Amino acid sequence: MLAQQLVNGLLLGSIYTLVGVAFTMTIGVLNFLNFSIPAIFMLGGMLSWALIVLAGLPWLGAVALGLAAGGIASLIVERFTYRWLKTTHPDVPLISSVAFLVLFEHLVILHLGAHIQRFPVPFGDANIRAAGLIISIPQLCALGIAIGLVLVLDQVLRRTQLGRCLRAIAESPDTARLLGVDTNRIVPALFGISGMFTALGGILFATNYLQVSPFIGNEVALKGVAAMIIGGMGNIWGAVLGGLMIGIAESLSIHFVGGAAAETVIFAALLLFLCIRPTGLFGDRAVRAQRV
Amino acid sequence: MSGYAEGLLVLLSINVIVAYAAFLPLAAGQLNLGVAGFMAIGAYAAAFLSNTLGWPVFATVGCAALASGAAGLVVGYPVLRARGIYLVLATLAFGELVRSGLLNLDFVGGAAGYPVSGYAGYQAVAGVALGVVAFVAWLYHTRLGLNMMAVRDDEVAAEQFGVKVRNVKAAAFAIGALLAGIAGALYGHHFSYIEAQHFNVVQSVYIAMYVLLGGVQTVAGPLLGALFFTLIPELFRVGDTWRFVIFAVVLILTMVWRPEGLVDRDLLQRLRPGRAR
Amino acid sequence: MSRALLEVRRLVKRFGGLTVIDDVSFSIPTGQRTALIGPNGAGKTMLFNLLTGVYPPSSGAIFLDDVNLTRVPAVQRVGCGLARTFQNIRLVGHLTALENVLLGQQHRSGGVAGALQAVLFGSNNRWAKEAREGLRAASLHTYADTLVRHLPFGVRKQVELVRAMMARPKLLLLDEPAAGLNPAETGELKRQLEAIAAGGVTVLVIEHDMAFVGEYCDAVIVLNFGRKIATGTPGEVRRLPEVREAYLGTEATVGAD
Repeated sequence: MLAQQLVNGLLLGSIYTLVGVAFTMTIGVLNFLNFSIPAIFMLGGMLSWALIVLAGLPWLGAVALGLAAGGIASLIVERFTYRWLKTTHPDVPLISSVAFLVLFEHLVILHLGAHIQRFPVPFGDANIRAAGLIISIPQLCALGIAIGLVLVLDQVLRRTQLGRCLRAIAESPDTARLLGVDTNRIVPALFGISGMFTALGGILFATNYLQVSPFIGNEVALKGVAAMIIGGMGNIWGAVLGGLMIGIAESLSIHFVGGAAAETVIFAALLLFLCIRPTGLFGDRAVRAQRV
Repeated sequence: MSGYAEGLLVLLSINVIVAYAAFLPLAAGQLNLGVAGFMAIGAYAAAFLSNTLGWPVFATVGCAALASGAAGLVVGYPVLRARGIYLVLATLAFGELVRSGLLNLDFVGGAAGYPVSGYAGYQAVAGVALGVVAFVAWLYHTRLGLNMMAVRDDEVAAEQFGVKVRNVKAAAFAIGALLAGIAGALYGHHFSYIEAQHFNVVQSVYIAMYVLLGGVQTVAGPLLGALFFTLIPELFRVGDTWRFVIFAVVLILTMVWRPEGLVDRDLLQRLRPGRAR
Repeated sequence: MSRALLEVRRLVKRFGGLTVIDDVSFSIPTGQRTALIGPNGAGKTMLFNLLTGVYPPSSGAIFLDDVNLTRVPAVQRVGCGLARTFQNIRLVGHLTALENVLLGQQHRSGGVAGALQAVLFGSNNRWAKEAREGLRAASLHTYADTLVRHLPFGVRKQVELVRAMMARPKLLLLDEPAAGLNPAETGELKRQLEAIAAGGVTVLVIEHDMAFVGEYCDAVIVLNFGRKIATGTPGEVRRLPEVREAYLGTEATVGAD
């Protein structure tokens, strides 16, 4: 039984991983907690649903468009938060990104309704039964996709020009600009990538739970943030580990203490982490010291 | 006064009180996204005292204020050691912890909610709101207010002149928590029913949003922010969902063009031509 | 002569593998006007930061008026008699000149009771009066109620100086007070600093303007790469080959010796 919970937790955690990676990328490079990420998570799921059910598009095409929409929404957020607001008090871009969260959520409610919708999937209920465990294939694919994408992202950060530029900006945006990094193109690219990561998370969420609503972002938001914190802000593999750990913690908590208390356990753990070891398991690089 | 106008006045009053609850930590440079958690502490403390001990409303609200203020101090000192984003997240986690914790406490109703016996009419609520405005306006005149503004702007320089930064931040946080408790208690006593789910992070976020929209350089800012947020449905004649769309768009645009908020010190100075201030 | 007001003994500051202050020792007698000079990056502002407690030293000691400041937290050092200005002006832009100057009184204002005294927005108690008087003495009273961000650069520098003096320091640390000032403003600065020194305050000033140093200072300490490479009167120091090489350049054109 415990093994089953662990397996469920891992699969649950893969979704949190994607959101956590999206958060940790923007914080690691830009020192900016992008609170619109949960909204883009929701947009990925809801827009894909709308394209499949309301527009009648084929599943794969709808999902691809949903991903693209996530990237575009993220670019809009960048234009109206980070782009303009780098120089003022740090509360401001955060609150602007929150405003986007509110905006996207309510726009979706207005146009697509506030109800939970059934999310159709092109494959049936496929499960593997092995060693007494039930493993759902879609969930397994979600885990595989999540880890695969992080592997690709890791390579991009390490070996490509884009990755080098991102790391330069993470060290010091002004110096990077002086060295010729075109922040006006690289930063939107970052937002676009993180937007697609989180939109994919939303689509995987919908595929696995077979339902979607305008509020799914709120459910994963804090867990994605927790994944980022546990792994260390700015550390994408840390976010992977953090996401999986939270998935497992949630799965075990639901099994042993029930759903409502499971939430409490997670918040208490997050608060404790923030007070005792805020830099996470692998340390953070994101929060820059004040210069005198 | 019509029932509708009374209800609106009560909502406005509570939003004003809670706006100042969020304003004080912000004025000292900290974003408290757990404000709703402190409201919940105040609401449940007042409701409990009213239901089980039958205390009059002014006593329960007073105790609620003390309870949430004390919680603010106890939580504040360790949490304020965290900086920047960590602090914001810690307050958020705390707020959610309170909410989900209260949800599991069956002796105060649990998930079913908790009825409140003592009643506070609209005059009482509005009166307290006026008192809070006056209190914060006075506080902002004091050296503590100056210290808070100095800490927000430049912590290191403030410390070089002897400002006890940690204490100032904790004071702002705790007094803010106290005000949030008052708001929560009054909410419970007026609407005669509270449930933990209401005091969630989304509430805290809306509050922070309208305070920053109004501006945190002056005492008038949060008042204007609360007014705008409460009155959007009236001003624009829109329903619940559109109201948030408008609110979000106004905030995004304001942060782009006027990141100090709608009311800043400059504006205030220009509006008082005769006086030097 | 006067005994040492400030004594710095074998001060060292390292950040990881980088040594920014390397075994610096000197003493400043009460009433002496001292300049701290050296190329950019020599560690002058870092030395100020160590004196005022922004960073703790890696080793060494700091004594002010025979009190060991080395382990005293930054927030308490102003109470021991230290006040400073900053290289890049650090005033609160959306407060008035008067309100910024009030901050200088903080350590004298008396605990919790002091914190709750109304001082802003038109208050007329002793603190506000004292702050206004300070601005008047610096001929800045017309700017008292103007927001600092609307003030010209030279005026802002003066406001910072008034704020520092409001702390009633024994030792005043000035970080490049003449930088960016035109000749008229520099003249006014010298007048104010003369008055400050005449009032018994010991002044330590970081400066690049060697004419100013020559006219105002009794003694000079020269830093390079975190080490003290010379001390003496301005005249003496100007003639030292190591100082010329490090800082003044091989052709010294600073006026008659």
